[in-house]
Amino acid sequence: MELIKKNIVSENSANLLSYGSVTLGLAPGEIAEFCLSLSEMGAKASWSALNVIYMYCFSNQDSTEKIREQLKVLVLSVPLSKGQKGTPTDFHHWRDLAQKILKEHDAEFAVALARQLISASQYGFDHGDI
Amino acid sequence: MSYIKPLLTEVMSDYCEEVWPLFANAIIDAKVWGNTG
Repeated sequence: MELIKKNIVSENSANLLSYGSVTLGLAPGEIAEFCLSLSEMGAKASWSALNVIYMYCFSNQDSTEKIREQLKVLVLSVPLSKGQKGTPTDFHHWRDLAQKILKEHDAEFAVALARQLISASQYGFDHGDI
Repeated sequence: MSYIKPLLTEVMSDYCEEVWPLFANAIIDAKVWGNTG
């Protein structure tokens, strides 16, 4: 995190933590806290944070419910408008996590998602993401 | 690959009462379809 703050490594570099199950040994709360901090560092970093937590949850299926509130924040933090993505899989991760959260009825989250989409629509979407 | 439409369809279907007013207002503001606002 310090290296990103000091611009020694790019915001995108945190995506490396998505691969190889390197975060597997961390507790759900620990990785969620890290990703929330990362997400606050900017648009690209928020996508990296979503990717890292997505792959963590992919390997730790039970963790999704334990960090449900943090996941909602991370899903709602990413910028959806065109040109904002970091990797081709970003939108897949956003949609999949949102759908997992919505498996439990959550009108407040649904409304927040709608607001996120409406807000991004003012700047347009990449055609392939629609 | 389509990502937004499937999720939006799900949200509009399951939470129509809650989210439709948001989209209705956005359409009225011409912020959603055409970005002409």
